[in-house]
Amino acid sequence: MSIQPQMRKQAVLAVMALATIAGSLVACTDTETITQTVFRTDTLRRTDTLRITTTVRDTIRFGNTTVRFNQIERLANPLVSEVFIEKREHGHFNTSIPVEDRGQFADDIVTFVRNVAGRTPGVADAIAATLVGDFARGSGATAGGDLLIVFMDRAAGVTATIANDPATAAGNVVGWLTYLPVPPLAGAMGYGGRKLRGDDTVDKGLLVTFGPLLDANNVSPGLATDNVPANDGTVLNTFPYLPVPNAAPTLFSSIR
Amino acid sequence: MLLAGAVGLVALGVTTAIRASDHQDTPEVELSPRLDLNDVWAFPGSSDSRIVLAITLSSPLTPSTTAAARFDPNALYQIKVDNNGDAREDLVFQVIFDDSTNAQGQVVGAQKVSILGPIAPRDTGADNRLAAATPTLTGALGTTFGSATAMQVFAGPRDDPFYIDLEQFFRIVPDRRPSRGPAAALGPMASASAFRVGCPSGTPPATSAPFDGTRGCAVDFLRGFNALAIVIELPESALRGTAPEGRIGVWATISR
Repeated sequence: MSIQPQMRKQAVLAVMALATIAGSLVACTDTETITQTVFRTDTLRRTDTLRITTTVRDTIRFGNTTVRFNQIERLANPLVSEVFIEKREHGHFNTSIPVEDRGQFADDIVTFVRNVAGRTPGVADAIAATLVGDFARGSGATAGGDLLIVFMDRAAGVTATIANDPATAAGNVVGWLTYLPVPPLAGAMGYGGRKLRGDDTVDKGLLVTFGPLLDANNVSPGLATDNVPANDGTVLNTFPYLPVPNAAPTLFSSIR
Repeated sequence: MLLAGAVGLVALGVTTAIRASDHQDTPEVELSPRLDLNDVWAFPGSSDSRIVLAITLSSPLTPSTTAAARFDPNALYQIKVDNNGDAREDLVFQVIFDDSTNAQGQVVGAQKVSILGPIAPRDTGADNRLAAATPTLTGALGTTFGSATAMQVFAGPRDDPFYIDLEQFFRIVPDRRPSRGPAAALGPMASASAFRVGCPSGTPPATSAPFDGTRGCAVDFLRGFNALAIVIELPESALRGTAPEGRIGVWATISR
């Protein structure tokens, strides 16, 4: 069955009208109306104009509290998913919440440490418990998960300037952040969190997973460091701390 | 039991150190780099009583594309804080971005940055709405705004501070490689069992370390690349809750 062009055009217009009406029905604080003039040619090459009014969601602004956002990415301690959890599970991890981590991902971490790294169950369980378990969460914690834990009650005098300067005695002694997270172990200096400079997180992770730190057996010396010792940018001692962006090369600017 | 305890104790101090990047961890965020969280940091700020929270995303940006880099105006960027030990968010920072457009609807100039928080979330978990309040601060992309004694914010491009020989990591654990691009072409089969040697002076070391003449020296995959960053510094008192030792748990999400 063929539909005559005129009928088709009327049908299209009817659908558009319905869409417009439907759009106007939901037009409220989180929508806005856009009217466009469209030139169109039908199948008989007749040209006409059509004003189309569309209603779009104007969703992303404060004051609009009705629109729901779906979480598609999550991160605290990045190596948790990047290294220890299979790629096929990353989407699942990204849309989950920390309190679910122990039940959903502890077994993935144990599997990686045992099967890929070839370590003992004791090492595997210790790593999994630290990364996503309730372990090491300090007194008073009722649940764990992949969280960047910070103990803000640190010793006086620990500021970004000192903390980011591994060349000073204070920077070394403070030693807090990534590798000494818990006050009972770190002393009064314990801070947790994650610092910006002098913190070779990849090597620390590799050393724990493949090296002798937890267990002298079944180590893989060639995997205990990636041999990239430092970032290329210079961390700032003042806000915003992260190194300035790399500039585009100007090699050919003189011959443009 | 004693052994397990000892392993656990060491893990307490060290395996929490396992932090690395989270670049391109799913095909979805790989295709939408502005939704791809790379790192999360939490470290002491400019004085004893201040804390810095920072995230990076969208890496790797080449220097020549950095000037045009923008956050996703349809996304909700959040840093979440648990301050009572239940691994659920008690306070959130919500950050959104608006493109500046001219009369023709073309994007011009810098994005407008709006941040709300720290504020109790309207919803906890992976399904979120904007809190019912006006932004705490607004500013322009690539600038520092706010107060050095209250809350100070930067959102814009920085050097990606992370460093890793990612290419070799993908040869060792090919499951984690991205779904497209040169690293994807490394294929699904493991083709290395150790990291490449480091060559600090630009030439292979004279030692007996095994040098791979085909693949060369270790390479900082992110050297010279930039990322988009959100950096927030504020008084710790704004985040402090009921957890002892001033303990907080921090993580970041991107939703849309």
